[in-house]
Amino acid sequence: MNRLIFTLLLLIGSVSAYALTIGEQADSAYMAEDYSGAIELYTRSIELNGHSSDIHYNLGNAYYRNGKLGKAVVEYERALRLSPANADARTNLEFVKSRIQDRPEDDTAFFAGLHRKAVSGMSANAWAWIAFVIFLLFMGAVALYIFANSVALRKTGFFGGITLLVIFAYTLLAAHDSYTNARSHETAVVTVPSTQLSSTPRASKSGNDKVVTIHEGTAVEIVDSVATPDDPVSPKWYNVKINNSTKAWLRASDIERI
Amino acid sequence: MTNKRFIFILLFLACMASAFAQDASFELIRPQNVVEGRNFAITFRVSNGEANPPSAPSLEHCTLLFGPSTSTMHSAQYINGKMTSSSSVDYTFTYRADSPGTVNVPEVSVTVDGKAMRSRAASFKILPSDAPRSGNSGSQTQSRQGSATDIPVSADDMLVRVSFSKSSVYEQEPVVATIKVYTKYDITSFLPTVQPAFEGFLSEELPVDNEISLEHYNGQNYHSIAVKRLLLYPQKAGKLSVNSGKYDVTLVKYETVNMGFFQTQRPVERSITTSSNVASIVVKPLPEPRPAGFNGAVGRYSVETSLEPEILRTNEAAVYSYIIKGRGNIKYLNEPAVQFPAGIDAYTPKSEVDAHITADGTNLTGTYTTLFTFVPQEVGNFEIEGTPFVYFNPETSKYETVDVADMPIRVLRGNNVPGVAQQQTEINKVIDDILHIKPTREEDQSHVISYTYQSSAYWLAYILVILILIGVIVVYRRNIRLKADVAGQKLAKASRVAVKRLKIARQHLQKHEYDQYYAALSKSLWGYISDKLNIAPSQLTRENVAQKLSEYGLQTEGIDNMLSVLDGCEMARFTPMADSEATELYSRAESAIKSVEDIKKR
Repeated sequence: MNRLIFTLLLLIGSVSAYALTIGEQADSAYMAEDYSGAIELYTRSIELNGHSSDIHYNLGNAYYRNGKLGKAVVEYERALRLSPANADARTNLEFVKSRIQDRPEDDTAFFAGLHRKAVSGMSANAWAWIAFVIFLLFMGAVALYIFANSVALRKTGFFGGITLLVIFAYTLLAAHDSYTNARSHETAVVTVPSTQLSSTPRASKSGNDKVVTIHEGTAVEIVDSVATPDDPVSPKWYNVKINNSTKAWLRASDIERI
Repeated sequence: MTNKRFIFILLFLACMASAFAQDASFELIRPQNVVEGRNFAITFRVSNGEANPPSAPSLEHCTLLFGPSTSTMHSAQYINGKMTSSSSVDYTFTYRADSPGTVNVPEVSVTVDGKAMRSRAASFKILPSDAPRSGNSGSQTQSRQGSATDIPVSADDMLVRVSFSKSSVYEQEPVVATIKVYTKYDITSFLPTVQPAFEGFLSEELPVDNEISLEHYNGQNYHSIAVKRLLLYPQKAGKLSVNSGKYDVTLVKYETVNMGFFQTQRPVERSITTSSNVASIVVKPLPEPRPAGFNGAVGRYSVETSLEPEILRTNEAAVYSYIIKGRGNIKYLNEPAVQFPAGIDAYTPKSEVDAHITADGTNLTGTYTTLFTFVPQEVGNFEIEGTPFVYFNPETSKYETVDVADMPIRVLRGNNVPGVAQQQTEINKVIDDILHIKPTREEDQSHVISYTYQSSAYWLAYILVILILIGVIVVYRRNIRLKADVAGQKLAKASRVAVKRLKIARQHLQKHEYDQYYAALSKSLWGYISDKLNIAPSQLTRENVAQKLSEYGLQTEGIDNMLSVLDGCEMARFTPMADSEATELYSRAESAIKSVEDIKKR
């Protein structure tokens, strides 16, 4: 019995030592243009070994090659969430977004847009550390104000301190937003070729509701969800926001949370 | 005589206006078809020269009746002061046609002005005589004028026929359609009311020679004339038919009129409506599979390409010509799809067709030139890929491909350099795909994502920093206070120390130890001042003490008192004093210290 276990252990050891990892297998499947194989292997690798920005990026590429734009958008968003500095993922996300059919009107205010861009430009951790460094500088300015002998230095310390405090407040806010964004699962992407927005959480009967069709790859924000037990096909519905002015209900099965 | 000659000259001028030649020639006037049993003439013409009469050619199916008979013509023209003249001699042989068949007139040679000349061979037909009428069956013709004249016009007397030169062709292969009128009577007017429609064809009108010839058709001899000839390119496969046209025709018939002794004929005009036959042709589809690049060209073609100018410069237009030469449906070709390399802006190509009908009138020949105007945007060596031209050859029933060589082009920098932005967009256009994957590394993957923001250590670090700052401030403050306290304590202690020293001085006074007494008294005073005014004892002098004391707020009398005590102490150490004086000095020292202390209290 002991010997058997030992042999097994040896075998496992040798396999892991010489065989390619699942991720590497997935890479070679992608190179060989076996995209559905690559999708399967990447997914399994994520299940077994956890997440990384690059593996989500690669999975997004495989989905794109397989024609699933919605899934590709989801994976690129995940890659960027893990590492906003992943420039390749951002490039490909922009590229895929330029290919999707819907382009909801972006009605966010100017400063809100800037803020969102800034927040998504760096990871939550980077923002946190920047906030800390700014805080240290602020403390330095306070110390300068308190301990300095000359009036000029004390003035520098006072005004510098106020400026740094404002900057610190913003960076801390950015760190907080970035953190909540990274943790939230309220953004979702349409993964079916097309689905219909309806004004109520039930399948729209023909002609009754005014329906709007949205297509694969469009990002929505989930506001609310409701379960309709009497509807066996799609029991769960999400109330989603397409932009600040458009709100509607969508089948839960048609979208995937990032 | 002169009259006769004048008439002759007039006749010549009228008839021979078009046919005058300066060079000697010998030719056979083309013989027309004749009907069996009739006499006919074969004429040889010698122009602008002298010749012996030719010998009569022997003809099959014919008997020479007589000949040659000679007729001579002269003409002179005076144009712009230049005189041209021509003359001709006709030698006519008369034959009788004996039996139907084709007659070949052989070449005949004569010596014209000492030069041997030959006439061309020709052929004509002897047609059988009219077959007996087989009733008026299938009459398409009706008499429009129900006039009193009784002789009906038979449907067989006037026909309009459409015929094709071939019975079956390929799509796009040309075929000649001829509309001919067959008649036994003179026609005074011929008006098509409905033209036969050639649906499914593209047509090209061919010239018609308005020559009336005798033709045997359906057992009858007719005068025939081609009214229309068309070169047709069928556009679709299947059996294509040409519907019948309708014509209003006015014929002249001759009626026999009995005028007693004579019998004369008088012409009677008859209007009739006739329609042409329905002609059809089988159009074969082009064989499948059609090779890639085939674009509907049928015939025989060759291709040339050229580039203008030879040296290209950026932002300067150049023209690449793709010239298709050959015969076939050249007018109906499509533009070749030439691909230009990236870095070259190509404009919409222009095509020009230069086609004319071939000598035999059965096809079109010419060139189809496509001009591609393009503007190179970048410097370098490029290649315009040669686009092969594929056509169908109906003679061999095969598709054939003309390979076109690649055209290398070299682009030099032009004078007007494009902006940088333009070049950048070119680069952006090239990358039109997602970026490639990155190598997957397992060591990068993890199930847990740690967030600094969420960790307590992060927030503790803030608290720590704040605490450190507060600590530093507290320590600093205390240090300042301590520094301030050294002076304060000295101040506080000053009077106590002074009092203690005064006590010691008093003990010395009671023991009458005067030297020690004055020394102690002086020391107690100096020490008190030093501590009180925070001046190091080594820096104490009589002058700065006075100054410092006045700064401290002591009145002038106080200062004088203090200084007199100090002076007294100094003096007493060297000059002995009475007991009463020593006791008074002691009390004065006490009052001096007291006056300084009073200031502090205030």
